[in-house]
Amino acid sequence: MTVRFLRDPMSLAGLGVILLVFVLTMAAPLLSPHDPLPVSLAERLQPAGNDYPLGTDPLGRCLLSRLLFGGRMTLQYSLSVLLIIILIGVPAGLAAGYLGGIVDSILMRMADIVLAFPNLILALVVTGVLGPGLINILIALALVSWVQYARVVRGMVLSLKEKEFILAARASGTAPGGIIWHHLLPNVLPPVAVMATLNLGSLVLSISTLSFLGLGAQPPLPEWGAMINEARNYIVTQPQLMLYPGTAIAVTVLGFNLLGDGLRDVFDPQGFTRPRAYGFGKGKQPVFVAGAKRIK
Amino acid sequence: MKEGRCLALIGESGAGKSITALSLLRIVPPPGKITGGEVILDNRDLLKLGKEEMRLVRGEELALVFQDSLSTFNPVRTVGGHICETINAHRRLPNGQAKEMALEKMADLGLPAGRVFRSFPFQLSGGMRQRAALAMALCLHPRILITDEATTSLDVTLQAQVLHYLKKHLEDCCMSILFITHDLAAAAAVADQVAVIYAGRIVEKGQLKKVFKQPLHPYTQALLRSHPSFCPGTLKPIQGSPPDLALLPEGCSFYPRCPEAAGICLSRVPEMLEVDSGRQVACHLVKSAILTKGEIAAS
Repeated sequence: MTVRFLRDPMSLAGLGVILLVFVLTMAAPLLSPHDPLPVSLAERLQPAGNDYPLGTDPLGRCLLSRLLFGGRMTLQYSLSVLLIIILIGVPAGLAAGYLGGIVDSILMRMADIVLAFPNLILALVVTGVLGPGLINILIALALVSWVQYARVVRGMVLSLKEKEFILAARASGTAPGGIIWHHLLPNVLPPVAVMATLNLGSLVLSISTLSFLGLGAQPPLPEWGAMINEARNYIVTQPQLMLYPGTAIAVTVLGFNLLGDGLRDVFDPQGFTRPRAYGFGKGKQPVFVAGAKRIK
Repeated sequence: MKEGRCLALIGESGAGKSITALSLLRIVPPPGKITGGEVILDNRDLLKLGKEEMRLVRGEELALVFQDSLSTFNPVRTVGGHICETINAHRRLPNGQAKEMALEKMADLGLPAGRVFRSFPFQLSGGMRQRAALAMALCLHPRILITDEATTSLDVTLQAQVLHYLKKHLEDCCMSILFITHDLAAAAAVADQVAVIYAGRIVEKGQLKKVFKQPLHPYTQALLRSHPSFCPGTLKPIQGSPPDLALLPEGCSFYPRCPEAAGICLSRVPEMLEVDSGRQVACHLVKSAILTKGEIAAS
């Protein structure tokens, strides 16, 4: 299993990128040459040089420091959102699938409503109601994203429920809680882990998007999306201001997707979560049909 | 059923053997439902117990072993985890103690307990897995063990081992076994009593030897004839297949396939008739045969 993952160059590249991004951003206080917040107009728009490795922004703040701290912000919030939606979505899916009946109907109708709108638009509306701020976009994204997890988990539970080992567990007197905890959850988690990794990329994107729109990180806090927004007025004269955070977002999202695809191939060979997005070389074919044989 | 005895429930596929086992434990999968009847254990009607009370009966007093041991175990949990879970569902024991009980039971069944405990189900052979499933069912010393085709998927040597163990256990532990099977030879090896089931109804019941030597019900006779033996030319299948249980024919459910069906079989469901002590048959023909015999004796 591990071997299969490590042999795939794309998954390895994804893992490498993600590790690099994590180390760089989490060690931001140690690595950044300057404080990312204080404004010094005297040093505005400095070119890249010894003092400022990537130059400074229109308010004279070190671009590299802001990039590192901004990534920290983005990743921290993406992970928090992910944690929240897993903590809501998985139990909701388990409850809906296992209990069925009225609980299932209520949860799934809620999911239908949320799924009827594009995710980002709905998050925008929720943030609009709650007001801008990182905590609020965290709530907004959690509110609109848990349903995917609930759906997938419910689907898996419905098919697991028919398995004989569940019947056997009941026959030996296991309580419903034990069945959910010991039998359903461990079977559901690997696909959820894959989904989560794939989802992190889009969460990074959503958080950056909302911050770009001015709903997330508020100035002077650094955040990749917000940095792109601040660089808008200088797109012609100082394109690097936008290029650096933009590249950072793109690379991070790509890393998460590659990693997620790799994990998916290992944990979920039938392509339950989603077909592979990036083909590579010969013999790597996206699997669209459940149970299709992979040529390798 | 009596303590320390083994009752074999035999019948062909689709006769209702497995569903009987599931109903005894009240775990019939939906849309199935238990619509009536009683399940009496020690003067208690299990069908009237509350959900939690019933849960405590499962595993502790009534234990079930399934046919396919691979699907009985959750693929992502170790065998030991399953057995400990069964123990913990009924007794609050410190973790080490449940493990000890599990290891002991597995060793009893001739398994390399330490290794099997740590193994995942797919790492074991079918025979080891089935014995592990048996260890799981027996770990709480249930009053009644229900084996639903538990030895059918094993090869003959393992089957003999498991049957031997079951028999030994039966004598040692005052346990009773409901041995569900379509394998007449296996039934003959362990059971003292036999009940033959057809289309969800028991058609003949009695001492193993008497039933197998002198079957009264035409279905039992046919069933015994369709068992392969060493004499060539004696194998006779029963024509047709069991009826759809939702559309049972009026009258005796076996009459469409019965070689001796008479007019009365079409219209009335035969009731259980005690022909001998402990020997019961549900068949109009047997009934009339006995009646005529009685008349001859009387005259």
